[in-house]
Amino acid sequence: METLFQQFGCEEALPRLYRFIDEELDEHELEAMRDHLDGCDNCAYEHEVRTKLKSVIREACLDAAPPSLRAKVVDRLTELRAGGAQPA
Amino acid sequence: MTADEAAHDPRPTETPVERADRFERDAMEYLDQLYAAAMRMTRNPADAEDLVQETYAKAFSSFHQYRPGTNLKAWLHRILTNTYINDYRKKQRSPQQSNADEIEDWQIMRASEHESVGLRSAELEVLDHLPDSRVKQALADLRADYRMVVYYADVEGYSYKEIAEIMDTPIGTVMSRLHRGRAQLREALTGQGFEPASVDQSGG
Repeated sequence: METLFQQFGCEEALPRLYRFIDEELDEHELEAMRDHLDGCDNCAYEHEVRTKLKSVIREACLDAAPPSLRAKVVDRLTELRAGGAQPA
Repeated sequence: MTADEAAHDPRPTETPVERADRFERDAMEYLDQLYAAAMRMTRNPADAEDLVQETYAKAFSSFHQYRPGTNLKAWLHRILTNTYINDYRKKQRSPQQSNADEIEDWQIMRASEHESVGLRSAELEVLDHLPDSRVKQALADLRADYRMVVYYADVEGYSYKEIAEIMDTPIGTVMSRLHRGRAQLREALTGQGFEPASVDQSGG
């Protein structure tokens, strides 16, 4: 059983850092994580770099589909429907 | 399905034409997100377009399996992922799989503890000024399974559970691939990655 109040050292905080950034920690872990980051420059730095990396990846990958693709997909679906296929 | 979902499930009463219309209306909304995922997977526009078209055709044919009220975009990404693995990845040279991909969590040992403040802020500075093309290339250089997990987590913002369902893997595998993929990306992009030190027993 975990106690309600936890305190994290670096050895508890670091392995949870990605889950913190990805919003996957439970509320008790969250509290202990925030407390630790407030007081630990090293982990706060890791947090900053990893958060930045995540946003850099996100912003680089927001590709829009080429306009012609929409028409191709609609044509393909129209063919399927004309051929008698229906979503069952 | 909950009673509430069942109450809003149009499937029992709609005609085939209505269902086909509903598919086109709802699914076409995610064209950009499917194309972006397909680009990361196939790494070239021609294959990405083929993959997206194939995904829509398959999704159309199995739309009866989609439960209204659940995440349609994730359902489509799951079909895209399966289609890529079954139809496209075979044609591409498979990267070497190693036993290192077993479920585990990592404890990270940071070089940064011994670095000056200047070096640290340099890493942030580098990340701030990266051209998109370099980020995309670094992603393209990752193993396909790392690449897809990073994409789904960082770009689409899916939860670990959703990614596990999309990729049909345990959540622990999702986490392990995310750690490794991100560590490799950081190394490639800033030259200041960190080393996996030991298997974490506490993180769960």
